[in-house]
Order: sequence, then C-alpha cells, then structure tokens
Amino acid sequence: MHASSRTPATQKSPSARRLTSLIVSNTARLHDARKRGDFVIWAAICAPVEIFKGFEHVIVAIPENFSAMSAGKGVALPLAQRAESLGYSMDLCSYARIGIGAEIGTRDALDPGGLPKPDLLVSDTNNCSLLVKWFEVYRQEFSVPHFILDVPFCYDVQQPKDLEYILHQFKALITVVEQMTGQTFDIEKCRAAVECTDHANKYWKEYLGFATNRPSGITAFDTFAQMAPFVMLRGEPEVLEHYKLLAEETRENVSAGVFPVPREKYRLLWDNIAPWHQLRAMRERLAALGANIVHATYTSCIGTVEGGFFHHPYDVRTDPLVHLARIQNFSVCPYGLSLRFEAMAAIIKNVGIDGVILASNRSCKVYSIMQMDLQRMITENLGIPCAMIDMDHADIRKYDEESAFLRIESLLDVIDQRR
Amino acid sequence: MDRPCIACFPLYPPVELFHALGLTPVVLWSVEERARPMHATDKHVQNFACLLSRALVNAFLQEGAGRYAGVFSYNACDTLRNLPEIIDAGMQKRGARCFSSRIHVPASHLDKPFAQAYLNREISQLVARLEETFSVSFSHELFKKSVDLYREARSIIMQLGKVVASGGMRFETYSELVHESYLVPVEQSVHRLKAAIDKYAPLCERKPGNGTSHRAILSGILPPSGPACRIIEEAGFIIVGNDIASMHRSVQHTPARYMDAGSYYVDFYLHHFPCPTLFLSASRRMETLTALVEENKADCVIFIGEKFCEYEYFEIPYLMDQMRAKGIKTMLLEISGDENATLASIKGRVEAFHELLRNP
Repeated sequence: MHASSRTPATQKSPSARRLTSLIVSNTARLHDARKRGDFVIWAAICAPVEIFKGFEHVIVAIPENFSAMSAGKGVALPLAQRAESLGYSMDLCSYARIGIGAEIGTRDALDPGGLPKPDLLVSDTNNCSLLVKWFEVYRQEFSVPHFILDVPFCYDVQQPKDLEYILHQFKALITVVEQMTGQTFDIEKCRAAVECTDHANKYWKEYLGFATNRPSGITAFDTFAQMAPFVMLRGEPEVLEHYKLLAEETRENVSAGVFPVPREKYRLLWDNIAPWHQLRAMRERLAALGANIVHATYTSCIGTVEGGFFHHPYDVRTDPLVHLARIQNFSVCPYGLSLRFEAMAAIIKNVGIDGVILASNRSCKVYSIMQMDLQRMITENLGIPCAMIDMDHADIRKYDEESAFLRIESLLDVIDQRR
Repeated sequence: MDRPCIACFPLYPPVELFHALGLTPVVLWSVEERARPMHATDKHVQNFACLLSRALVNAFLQEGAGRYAGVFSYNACDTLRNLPEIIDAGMQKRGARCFSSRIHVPASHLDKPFAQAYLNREISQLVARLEETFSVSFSHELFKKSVDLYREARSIIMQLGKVVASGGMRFETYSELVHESYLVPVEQSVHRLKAAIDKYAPLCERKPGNGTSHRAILSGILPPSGPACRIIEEAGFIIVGNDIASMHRSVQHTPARYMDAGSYYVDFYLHHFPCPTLFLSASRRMETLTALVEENKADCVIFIGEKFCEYEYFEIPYLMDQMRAKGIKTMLLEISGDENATLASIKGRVEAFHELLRNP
C-alpha cells in the first residue's frame, strides 16, 4: 500500500471539523448558561470536574484552556501585555498573564472579554501550585469564594493517606457547592460522568496507540488540539462520542495508508506543554525534514496515573469520588523525576521513539525544572538522544524558531549517525 | 557540629523536631551562595529558576555530602518541590548519598480537622523515620526544651529588629546575623544573638535618622545583598520593620503553649505570619502588612522582588495597589543575584524614591 499524506492543511478532517464545532458550541453554551443564571465555576484543568456533574445548572469554564486557545489563535499577545501593564511580571506563566489580561481591568466596549463571570473558583495544586496564586487574582477581582484543592506531590505511587486527604477535600468541595447552589449532590450523576470520562479515555488511548504504526497514524500536534474536549467537557457524552469517532477515523486512515508524515524518518517524543503558537509551523517544518513528533508526555498522560503509560480504568463498583481522588495525579506535573522517567521510558519503548525534544518552558517551571536530569537519564539509561529547546507555551516573544530548529536538526543528525 | 546535621529547605521547616531528636537542623536560605558562580547548579537547574533554588542546589552539591547527614524538605512551590530529587540525582552523580525525607504540609484547609490529622500523621511518620535512621528517640520533654530554645532565638531576632528600627544597628548587619543563625546549632545562635543585643541595643538613638529620613518596611523572600541594604540606608531610609520570609516571617510566630509535636506544627503553620507560600494565610496578608506599616509608623514599603518567584510576583501588584489606596508609598526592587553588578541603578532608583517621598 502506498502511503499518502493526509488531507491538505487547508481542508479540515471530519474530526477537526467536529472539534471546531465542539469548541464553538461550548463557548456559546457557557455564555448562554451565565445569562440564564446558571452557577458558573472556573476550575483548574486537573480539577475533578465530574463532581460538578452531580449538580443541575452548574457549568464549568477552564481559564487555562481559554489561554491556550488564545495562544493557538494568535490573539494572546495583547492580553498578556495588558496583564504586564497592570504590573504582572513578564516572568509569570503566560497562561496566567493571558487569563489576567482577558479578565482584569477595564476594557473597551468592543472587547468581548473572556469567560462568563464566575460564582466559585476551584484551583488545584496538582498541575501547578502557581495556579492557586493566579486564581487568587480572580478572587480579588470578582470577590467570589476560592476553593483550593491541595494534592500532595507524588515522588512515588500515590499513598493511601494522600488519597484519603484528597477525598476529604472533595467532600468539602461538594459541601461548598451544595451550600452555594442550594442543591444536594447526586452521586449517581457524578458516577455516570466518571464512567463517561473513563470510556472517552479508553478511546483516547486507542487513538494515541496509532502512533505505534510506522509511519505513525498521528502527530503529537493533532493530540494537542484534540485534547480540548477532554479539558473543556470532561464527563459529557459529546466527549465520549468525539473520541470514539476520532479513534475510528484514525483507524480508517491508517488502514487506507493515509499518514500525517508519510515519509517518516524520525519518530520524536515531545516533553512539555504544547507550543500553542507553533502547532502548524513546527509540524510542517518537521514534516519537511521527515520528522514527526509522534507522542507527547503532555497528552499521553491523559487516562493514566502517575508514572503510567496505559489506561487506568474505572471499576464501576468503586465510589466515583475514590476513583477521582486516585487519578488526581494523572497529569505529568504532579509527579517527580523518577516517575516522569518511568512514564517517558514506557512511551519510548512502546511507541518506538528515536529522539526526545525537551521543551524547556519558561512559563512552566513544574514541568521544566528537572528536564536537565531527565535528559541525562534518558540518554544514559535508554541510549536515546535528546535535544533541549527554549520555549514558552503561550508567549511567542520567548521562542526563537531558528535556535530551536538548530537544536532539533542536530538531534536528527545524531539519530542518523547512530543508525 | 557533633550532632548529625540535617539540611532543611525551604522557608519554615520543623526545626524544633530535628533538634529534639539530637540532630542539628540548618535552614538553607543560601544567602552567601547567591553571588557565587553556580557551576554545579548549571548542570541540573535552568537559569529561569529563582536564585534561592539555584543557590540552594549549588550549596548542597558543593558541600552536601561532607557536611550534611541528611536533607529534609516540604512542599512550598513548583520549583522547590522538584529539588529533592534533583539534589539526589546530583549527589548520585558525585557518588554520594545521604538520608532524604519529605513531608507534605497541607497548603490549604489546615483549619479543618482532616487536614490537621494529615499533618499530624506526616509529623509522626517523620519522627519514626528519623528515629530509625539515626538511632535516636523522641521525647516530649526534649521537644519542649527545643521549642523553648527556638522561641528564645526568634524572640531575640525580633528584639534586634527593634534595635535596627531605633538606629542601633545597620539592617545589613542584622541580616547577616539572622542568616548566620540558621546555619549553626540553635544554642550557639542564641548565644550570638544575645551578644549582639548587648552590643547594639545601647547604641539606639532616641530619635533615629534626621529630618530627611523615611521609615521603610522591606518585603520579600530574601533581603537585598549587603551593599544594596547599605544603599537603602545611606539614601536616608530607616528599616523599621520587615516582611522578609527569611527574617520576620520566619520568627514572628512560635505557638504559645507546649503541646504534642503534631498539634504544635498545626498551630505553627496555621497561625504563621502570612507568606505567599502558605495559601491559607493569603487572606491575612494585606491586613498584616498594613498593621506592620502602622505599628512601625512606616512611610513606605519597599518590595524586594525575587526574580522568577511566581508566588511573590502574583501578589505584588495587588499589594502595591492596596497600599497606594491607603496612601502608603511603595517601590519594587528586583533582585536576581547580580544586584552587586547593578548597584548604580539600584542607587538611582532608591534615591529617586526617597526624593519622591520628600517632595510628594
């Protein structure tokens, strides 16, 4: 079978069209719900949003997602600059600066602003604890309660004492929402949402699994974009449906010999948050070199637990809150160097990786401060070459394409020399 | 030091506990490391981590294996929580290993019984681990004595702050004394601090400064370098108080009464002087800082921004706005370890700020 390139960049695949539709309808849904008087929660990306499905007329907006999408659309810079003009240092996380710039201070009449105003803020220390400080800025601005989920950082597999501590906090959070909305939490609705997320994760993992094909059936750039429904709408049936169709579409493409980088010579792993302002440019320039970033730690971790690679399934006999507490460490950020190495080693082995790009991200210290040791461990223990590039996930001013590609091309040379 | 030395970071570790177990805890603020080349750190930590963390890793990797029997840390921020494993990796690379222990201090909810129970358990497990590793035994009596010793040290540091405010001592000297006290056994520290009181208290003037002096509060994670402190004082500022993490924030609160170790640390962290790293204290920070200004009759607050410290930098714009609304003048000075190379610009900014206060 002759391998061919995927649909041209100008022509969207069915899954990309569905994704756009989901994003657009979710934005409208959030603002409509606010107008109807629904209860609006601004939550951190890793907060257990399935809990909120146990209530009626409670909607969830994710400020980090808003910032990432703004960066992806190329509209983030003026928002970040607005935050800087309010005194927020350029050294602060660009997601936070974009989010603050969108929501704080005065704006002109034509500026649509960001998210519908919140009734409650729920931050979470498990993806990063600076997010708590970012949400504190919102608390000061909107004078609404701020609930902080404190998830102990994992240097090893989650301990029962930590699970119990997280569970207590979930119960405290439920009490807060009950008091603020006047409703009683419905655990069966929460269970249904957890099951929905779990099934969606299963399809997500199936989709990511097409990276093992040679050439890969996916690029990490697609996974960055396609993670949006998981982030925005976790627990909703549309997410399950979307990932099911995404896995099917990718399977069909692979069967038909349609690959994103048909002349794939180099299979790379990306370590850090997506370079939102570079998705197309980096993908196309790499493809021209025969290189494909086939997997990313940022999206591979969805559906797993700390240090894992495979799907961590929900056992329906388990209390959904216990399951949610158990998977609080799914994202890469809440766990340490040894677990990060374990997870990356599993990807390298299972997906067949030739080289690793460690994106040293000035806006995400929790993801980046350990990469120098990770690089050494991967090179010395697994014999896989690595390149570290400077990056900021959402602030284009802190990225230099030529410097980055100088290092990436050197990495490709090293891979060639080892063959 | 005869007793095994435990290097502790960050900020506010449970030093009394280590001391009660016959160990010598030292708190690695690494002030003295900041101006030195960081070759050891450069192999492990990027240059966009804060200087405190980079200096800390450098200090440990340079002299850790020989000097410390162990390292202890607790969660404080995104950078610092990565350091225990980085230090361990660096030590391994040098063929050295040492005891390492960590606890999680609840960052929120410590006012709730479940979080208090969690911290109690963390403390108990730490005690058990130290007892086993160092063949020592915990006793409530020894813990009480250790608490009393640290209370005394903290109290003298507070008194010395008043001596600085009264013109008896330079802030630079005060800062050196305080930071040295974290690196020696507490008994020695108490002795040195008492000697400093004896030496400097008699030098206090009745009315410090002159007609052009302004009374300032310094706020930040660490104080400015010695030369930068000198510039601030020579420009005509009297440092009448501070909201520095390694100084006033560290010593202001010791639980008033003796209790078991777990309950002691619940009180210690729950009622700690506000700090951006202790989330529960966030709502008290503005009120406490304002009280510090009022109690010390300060004219202004000088924020010492620790470059790349996200926690501080998220709060500074709000604090400055609120201070301005209360008519309190503020200035932000950023320090990044190379301030000795930029003393001229610091001098210019400090003098301009002083001029602004003179001619509002």
